[in-house]
Amino acid sequence: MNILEDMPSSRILVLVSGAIGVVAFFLPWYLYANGVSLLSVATYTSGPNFKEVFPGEFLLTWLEFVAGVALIVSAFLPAKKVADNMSLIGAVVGLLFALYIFSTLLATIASGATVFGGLNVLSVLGIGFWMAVVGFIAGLISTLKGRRAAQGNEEQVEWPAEVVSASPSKE
Amino acid sequence: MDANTNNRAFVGGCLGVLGFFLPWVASAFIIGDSLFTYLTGGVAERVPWVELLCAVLLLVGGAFAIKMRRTAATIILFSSLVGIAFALQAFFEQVAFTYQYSTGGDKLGGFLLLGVGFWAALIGFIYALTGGLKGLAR
Repeated sequence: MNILEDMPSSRILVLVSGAIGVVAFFLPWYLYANGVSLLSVATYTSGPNFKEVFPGEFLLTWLEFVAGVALIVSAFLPAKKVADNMSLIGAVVGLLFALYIFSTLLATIASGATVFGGLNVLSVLGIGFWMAVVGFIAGLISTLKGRRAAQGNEEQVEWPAEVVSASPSKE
Repeated sequence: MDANTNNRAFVGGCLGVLGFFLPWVASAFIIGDSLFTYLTGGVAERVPWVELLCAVLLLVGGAFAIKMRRTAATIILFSSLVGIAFALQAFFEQVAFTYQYSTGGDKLGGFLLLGVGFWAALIGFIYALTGGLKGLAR
């Protein structure tokens, strides 16, 4: 608990978004029967042909889980630049995965429909999908904000030392 | 913190708990379905317990807000964001369902069928999110 109390705000938001991404992996992404989670797709052995629902490679579903874990790990990394890059990659990959699921569902379920007719795809997307979208967008925003704040601090630290020594007002 | 964050989390949590028992899908002249009726009726794919869990976590976060500022903010942010995602799912499901099956002119009017439980929960989670963000900013 003390770890959280000492953690910067942007890192806490990254941690929260990563946790949301990881939990989303276990909740339904597709509203069918009892709900199809990414875990059930990744560990699919028999039963209904989920490959029609998720036409991508089964291994690819783990990408969402790995993206969430990457965000969580990056929140605890001491090296700031490595952590920033890791969380940025995690958030982008997570969002791209959600986009991939959405587009494949659009192509599979709404095939033959008009573009707006494809809106009915939204009625079969489960809580897992929406959690991933909300979580990874929050992770992306907090990462970008953290990077901007860090750049601002670097400029503030570097500038005054040189400017102050060379400043006419100081002479 | 943080009486402010504490209050927002409590209000958001109470609205979330209330929203669980109020209708999420409205119908004229009959009482619509609440998440509680989904849960007891075995509507499993919509995982209605997630909403109640988020609301309870908000109350827990609110209780810790004064002693453990950032830990409480973490809990509040997590549960409010998940709650908002839950509301988004319900919103788009209803709008898309109406769009698909409505034979009338207003095919995009599905949001009008969202019940008071949905709106109470959505407002509660957004309000709690602002409290969590305020708590982190201090």
